[in-house]
This record gives sequence, structure tokens and C-alpha cells, in this order.
Amino acid sequence: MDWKIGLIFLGLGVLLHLPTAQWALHWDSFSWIGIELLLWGLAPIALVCAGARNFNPSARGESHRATISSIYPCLLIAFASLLWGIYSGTAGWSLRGISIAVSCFLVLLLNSTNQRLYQMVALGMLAPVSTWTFAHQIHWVGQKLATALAGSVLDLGKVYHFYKGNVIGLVSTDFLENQQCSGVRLFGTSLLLVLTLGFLSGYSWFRMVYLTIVALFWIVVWNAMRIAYCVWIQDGQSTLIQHNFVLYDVVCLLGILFFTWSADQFYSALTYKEKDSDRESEKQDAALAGSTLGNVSTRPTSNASLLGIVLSGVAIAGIVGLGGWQLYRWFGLTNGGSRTLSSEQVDQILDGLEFKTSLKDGWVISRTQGAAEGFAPIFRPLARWPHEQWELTNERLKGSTMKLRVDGLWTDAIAPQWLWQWYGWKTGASTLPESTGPNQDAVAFGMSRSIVEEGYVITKRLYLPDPSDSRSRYVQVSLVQESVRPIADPQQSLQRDMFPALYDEIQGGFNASHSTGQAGIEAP
Amino acid sequence: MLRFLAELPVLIIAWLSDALEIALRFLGRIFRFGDQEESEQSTGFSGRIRRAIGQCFWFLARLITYPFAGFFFRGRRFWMFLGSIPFFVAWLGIFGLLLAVVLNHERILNRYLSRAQNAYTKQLGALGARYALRWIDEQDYANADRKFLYSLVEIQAGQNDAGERVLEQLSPEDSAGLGIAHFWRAGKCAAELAAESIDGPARQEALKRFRWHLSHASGVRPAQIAVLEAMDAYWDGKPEQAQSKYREVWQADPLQSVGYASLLKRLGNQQESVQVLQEGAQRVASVLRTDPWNRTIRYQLASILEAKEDWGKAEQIFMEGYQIHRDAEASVAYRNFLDRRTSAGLKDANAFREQAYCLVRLLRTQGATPSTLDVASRTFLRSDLEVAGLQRELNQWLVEGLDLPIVHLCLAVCKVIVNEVDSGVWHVEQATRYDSSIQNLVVPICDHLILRAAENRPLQKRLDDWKLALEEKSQKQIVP
Repeated sequence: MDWKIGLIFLGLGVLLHLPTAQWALHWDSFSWIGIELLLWGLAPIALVCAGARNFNPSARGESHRATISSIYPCLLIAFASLLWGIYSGTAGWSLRGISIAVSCFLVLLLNSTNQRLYQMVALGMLAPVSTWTFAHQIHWVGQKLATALAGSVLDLGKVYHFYKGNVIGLVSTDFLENQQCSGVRLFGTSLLLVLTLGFLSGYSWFRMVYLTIVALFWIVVWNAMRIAYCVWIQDGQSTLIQHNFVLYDVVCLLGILFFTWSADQFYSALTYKEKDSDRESEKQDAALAGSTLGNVSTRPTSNASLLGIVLSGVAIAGIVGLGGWQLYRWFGLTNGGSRTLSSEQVDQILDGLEFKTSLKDGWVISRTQGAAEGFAPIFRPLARWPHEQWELTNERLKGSTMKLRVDGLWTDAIAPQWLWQWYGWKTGASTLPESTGPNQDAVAFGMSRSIVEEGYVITKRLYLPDPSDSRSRYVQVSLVQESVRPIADPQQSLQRDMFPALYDEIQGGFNASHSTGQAGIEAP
Repeated sequence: MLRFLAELPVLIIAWLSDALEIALRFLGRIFRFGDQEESEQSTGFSGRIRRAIGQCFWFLARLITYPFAGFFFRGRRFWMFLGSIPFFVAWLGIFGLLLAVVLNHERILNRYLSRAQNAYTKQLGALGARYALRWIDEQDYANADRKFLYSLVEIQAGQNDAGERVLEQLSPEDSAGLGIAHFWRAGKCAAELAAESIDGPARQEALKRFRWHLSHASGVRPAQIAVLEAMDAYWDGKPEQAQSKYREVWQADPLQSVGYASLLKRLGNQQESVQVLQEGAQRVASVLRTDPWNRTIRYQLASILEAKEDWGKAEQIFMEGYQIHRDAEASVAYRNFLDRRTSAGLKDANAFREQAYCLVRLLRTQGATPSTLDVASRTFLRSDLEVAGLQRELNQWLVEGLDLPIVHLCLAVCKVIVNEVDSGVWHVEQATRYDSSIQNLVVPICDHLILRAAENRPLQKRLDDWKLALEEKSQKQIVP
């Protein structure tokens, strides 16, 4: 009886969270990773639909049927994920929480086992990969390898190129391949598919690790080939060539999956023993001959089970409560409660800024079109990444120049240095933040690249005005000085003095736009 | 003994075969466990170790023989083998690619290096810098000589600061560095010291740095280092030694005439300085006659003549160069010369003839550029007495037949300044009669002078009147 009550309440919790899932899936941030999200949804369903063979516990030698009392760790994880997702405003954690709750629901509904549930939870936690805060580090390493391999291919093809960190540039044209070098494409999608294949096939953990490593290898290789192809096509062309990236995605995905399958065949052939098949069939026969679920424990028999029921109950109640609160909040917002800015509106606001009040002492500002070191990283959960840049010059100070740049909208906060590190800058230790004063919470650091490039950056996050969800979205405002010599202390202090006024003017622009009601409804 | 030596090869073969047999027996005992079912029953620590080693051995054996053994597989395993072929082939391809690139790493970088050198020789500094970007960060590859090449291409690309930074890195003040970079640094220090704008401890410090870099300088002609050594002797208070050393260099190389003459001038030996320039000019001119296409010699000769303040002959040298080469470089060289000549002319307030000539040539060769307009305002906006002197020299140039339209235009401006607006209009008419394009110069010059004569309201009014009169005249010509 307990499982039926639990099932009903869990189902209710899942239903209550559907608007949140719908918001996350329809948010512009996720529109470009459609394949990954689709597979994220398909993976648990595919597990369930795998049928009796894979879900028959005794046939797989598995025991311990999942019960309300036994799945409390997963339910608690689901509750914690949802709680953190709502608190931090990160859609990724909300999605993970919902996916685990759905997994628990399905496992209970289909009388499956704990082991199968843990596999589904593992998949649910993994996806969507791009929403993890450490995603950029994974992509950084992967991109480094892919760029190096692409460079090797180009070297053999005698295409003259150079590297700016993870990005390839061509000698023949003024062109940086920062579109294909903006992260490892199809990383989450391919890994998810391969892992799903492994779980469906009931592979051992050792074999899963082997398949994962092989899949990662082919992801890097196919990304490298893709970069090399795009650079090779662009070589010697003065205008940027347009590509059919959807076709490239499909080809690369098929290539990765095919070669991973081929590697799996290699493993099977290498470890194949003639007696294996006989043993397996004997085991299956024995299992089918007996009672299918005869050896599976179904009833809670100890105090531990009681504790499990209590914890599961708390978790389910929490999930239901959070779902109800989210629903209440969602309806409240659609009735004109909170508003935030979309990336297009951010563009418009930045376009309208003139920086007349914040610039004095002979500084002149001009908009820079198409900054070379800017790109849309594929591991940020955004459809596009606005990157605005201005150049500040001062004839009085011997032609001093600085760059003011605004990067964002972003959601998950990561170290501000990563952008420069992606382009090969070696960043030094941060010298701020200051606890008080105009540069409070700003970060400043020196950096160097090549043997003649030096820089100094002062940067600060500017959270968009949104009282209901103030931690969710921000732009990164940075004032950058680049030179062939180390930026001396007087120049650094000049930069630090100028930064607050520029920051305040940008903030003023956002605040004014918000108060005049230009912002649209984006998120609950 | 000899018998033993004779049997030694046979013995060695026997020992080797015995060792091989023993090793095979030993290995056989170990590896038997990895592939036999009964080995699974072996217990104890040594048994498990043997089994593990044996399994590893047989796994490796299967792995190595897989590409060949796979063709003898049967049934399902054969299809697995076929399915694994793409993976195997692609993996080997990637491995081979990486191996080829790693083994040819230096050769690949050499390609970029030679391209950078090639670009430098073709004066394509920006392209050379891009090629150099590939290897400049390679610690093992980018040695001092290659970094020096990078500095050269950067300088050629117009990135002087970047090039100089590299040269500074190559000439450290606490270790050996690159000789030619030290020479460059010594030259830079010498220029600072020669400017004589620093005194006291700063000068001592500069002198110390100069001597450090000079002591490590190499990679250039000995005469070039000798010149710096002569300057060192001069700053060290040994004028005779400095003079004798520089004389030696100059006698061997007349291109050092300007430097040697400058030293003699510092030492107060004005007459000998002039003689050195005279003799140097003759010697370099004779070299140029044998090789008129040599730009370096040509510019050196011109610089000696400039040092002699023989501007006319120097201009003739540049004009000859332009007629021979007829390219942008020769044109730029002439323009730079004209700038230098104008600056020198403006330094002497009474050099009206020179100032008039320079202004006429600037207006003709560069048009109404900001720098030309600046020279025009500095030439015209002066006292009436000075303008009268300028007018006199312009009239003389008119008689001598120097660029009649431009001279008329300059005279027109002078007339307006001395309150003869009608005469100013007439001169413009004369100028446009010779060359109608002069009209394009009148308005910018007039506007610029109005802007610069902000404190002289009457002059502004006269210039405005002149401009209006010219506009009326031109409208009348259009609508008769």
C-alpha cells in the first residue's frame, strides 16, 4: 500500500514541476542544444522501453526490487537538486532534479530494481552536461586536444596557421577560427548516447569506462577533423565562408557513434570466449525456470526500512511542496510580477550607451565592430553570447588606449579569467577584490601572452535587475589594457580609477531600462 | 689461449642458446597459468601473481596478434572482428598522423621559419610576423637568433614597440644574451647620452648600461662597434683616443662621416668637421656613381649633404633616386627629406628664401595636408616685416621660374596678410591661369589661416573678404 501512496504523491510532485521543466526547455538558453536535451529526455525512457529483458532483475542477476523505502537516497538527491535549482536560479539543476524524480516514479511504477534506478539517476545527473559549472574546464581540455590534432592535420596539409590559446588563426587571412574552436561539440550528446547504449546492453563498469574513454577519444578526433576542414576551406579566402553546421553535426555524431560501436566490437572480439554464450544461456534458463521474482526481496523488514520510508516521505513532500511553490510563483509572474531582460534587449541597452558622464580628462570612446577575441562558447547555456566592445583613447596620455568590453548574458558564475585563458593568456593572481570602495567585488589581474603581449584586466559582474531571481543572470564588465610592455602601477591605478564610473553608467542603463518596463518576461 | 679465442664464437652461441632455453622454460612456467583453466585453482599469493602475469601476457599476445588472428575467427566472433576493423584502421591512422607530426615537428617549424625569413626579405613584415607566431612561443625552438628575426619582422610590420621589447629581452643586463641585440641597446643608450638631456646619477646609470651592452655587443661589423667605443672614450674624458679611433673607422668607411663630423664638432674642431663632411661626400658620391641603384649609399650621401646643410644637392640626390626607382619608397624618402629641410628652414626666422622654397615644394608634392597647412600657418602668420621679407623672396623665386602657380598662390596669401586683398585675388587668378587645380588649395589654406589667426580679427576679416571675392569671381566665370 505504501508504494501506491508514494507513487501518487511522487507523480503529483512531477506534475507540479512540469511548468518549470517547460520553462527550462523553452528558455532561449537551451534552444541550440536541442539534440542533447532530446536525448536527455529519451535516455530514461529508452531504459524503461528496453523491455522485460533488461528490466527483469533475475535475468540480469540483480536483486533488491525498488521500494519506497529503498529509493530514499535518490529521492533526497532529487529534492536537493530541485531546491538548489530554484535557489540559485539554474535551470540545469532543476532539470536534473525533475529527471531523477521521473526516474524514481518510473522505477516504482514498473517494479524495477534499485540498480536500474541508480543507473538512471547517474544519467539524469550527467545531463545536460553543458549546465554543469565545470563544463568549461572539460571543454577547455577537450578543445586544447582537438585544436592540437586539427593543427597536426593542417601541418600535414601544409596549411599555414598559428594558435592563440585554443583558437586557430590562419596566416593567409585575417581570420580566427573562433566559431569551431569554442568548445567540444556533441560532447554531451555523444557521451549520453554511448552511456545509454552501455546501460541498455548491461555492460560491466569496466566496459563502460572503456566505452566512455573511447567515445571521448572519437569526440575529440571528429571535432579536430571538423576544425581542420573549416580552416582548410577558409585558407586563402578573404571573406568568411558560410558552412552547413547542422550537416556537420549530423556527420560528426554518426562518425563518433560508428567508431565507438566499432571499438565496442573490438572489445567484444578480444574478450570473446566460446564458453561465455553457453554459460549465459544456462544462467538465463535457470532464472526463467524458477519464479521470476522469487528471489527478490519486496517487503521492508527492518528499522532501516522504516527510516527509509520516513526519509522518502520527507523528500516526496519536499518535491511536492517545491512544485506547488514554483507553480504559484509562475502564475504570479505571468500576472506582471517580475521582469528581466533578454539578450536582445541587453544589446539594445548597450547600443544606447554614450559614456558621456563617465569619461573625462581627454578620454574618447568609440565602438569596436567585431572584436577578434570574442566568441559564443558552446558550453554556456545560451543561444548567443553578446559581446560588445569599445575602445578608449587619450591623446593627452601619449595615445593611451584601453578596451571596455561587456560579455554576457551568462547564468552560471565561473572564474572571470577563463575567457582570456581560452585565448592563450597566462593570467596572474588577482589583486582585488576590495571589501569596500568603488571597486568592491571587482577582480583585477595581470596577464601575458607570447613574448611581447602584456595585459591588465579589471572586471566585475553586473547582475541584471530582477528582484525575484537576482542570482541568475549577469554580464561581465571588463576594462582591459594591452601593451607590449608590462602594465605599470600608475597605468593600473588609472584603469582602476576609471572603471567604477564606466561600470556605474552601464548599470544605470540597465536600471533605467528595467524601471521603464522595457524588460520582458523570461523566467519564473 | 689462442685455442680458447678460436672457440669463443662457438661458445658464445652455445651460451646464448642455453640462456634462451632457460628463459623460455621460465616464461613458459609463468605464462602457462594465464591460459589454462587449471591455473584458476592455484591458490596463494605467488599463484595469484603468476596468474595475473600470465593473463597480462596472453592478453597482450591476443592484442598483438589480433589483426592477423581475426581473419581466422569463426561465427559471431568473426563478425565482431569485421566490425572492429574501422576502429582499428582509424586509430592506427590517427596514431600514425600524430607520430608523423611529432617526428617532423622541427621540420614543420622550419617551414614557418623560412617563410618568415622570406617575408622579411620581401619587406612583408606583417606576414612574417604571422608566420613567426607559430614558433615564437616554442621554448625549445625559438632561440635567440630566431627571436631576433621576430623582432625584425615586427619592426618591419610597423610594430616598433613589440620589436624593441624583444630586443630588450635579448639583451639582458645580468647575462650574456644576443650580441647584436646588445649592440642595438648600446646604440640606444648612446643616443640617450648624446642627447645630453640627462645629468648626474641618471647619466652615470645610462653610461654604465651603455658600457655593459657595449662589452657584450657582437654580430656586427667591427667598425660599428669601434664607433661606439670611440664615443665611450669621448664620454670617459679621453678626446684624443675617441678622435683617433673614430678617424680610423671613418678612413675605412666614409659612411661614418656624419658621426665623425659630429664628434669633431663636439670637440670644438669645426673646421675639420666641415672637411670630413666634404671629403666624406666626395668618397660616397664616387661609390654611388658606380652603383646608382644602391639606396643605402644614396641616402647616406644625402644625409652627409644634409649635415653640410647643402640642401640643394641633397634634394638633387633624392630626385635622382626617385627618377631611378620611381616607387613609393623613393617618394617617401623625398617627403621625409622635405620635412627635415622645412624644419631646418623654420628654425631660422630670417631664412625667408628657404622657407618660401620649402612651402612651395610642400604644397606641390603633398597638397593641403594637415602638416603642410601647419607649415603654411607658421610661415605666413608672422609680423608684417617678416611677411614682406617672405614676399620679396617669393618674387625672386617667381623670377627664377620656380613652380609659378604655387608661388603666385603664396604671394596671394602674403598680399592678403599685408592688406592688399585685390592684389591677392589677382595672384590667385594668375595661379589658376597656369594650373586650375590650384583652386583646390585656396579654400583649405584660407580656412586654416582663419582658424589659426583667432586673435587677429582684422586679418580674419581680410581673409574672409578674400575668400568671398574669390568665390564671386569664380561664380561670375561660371555664369557669364
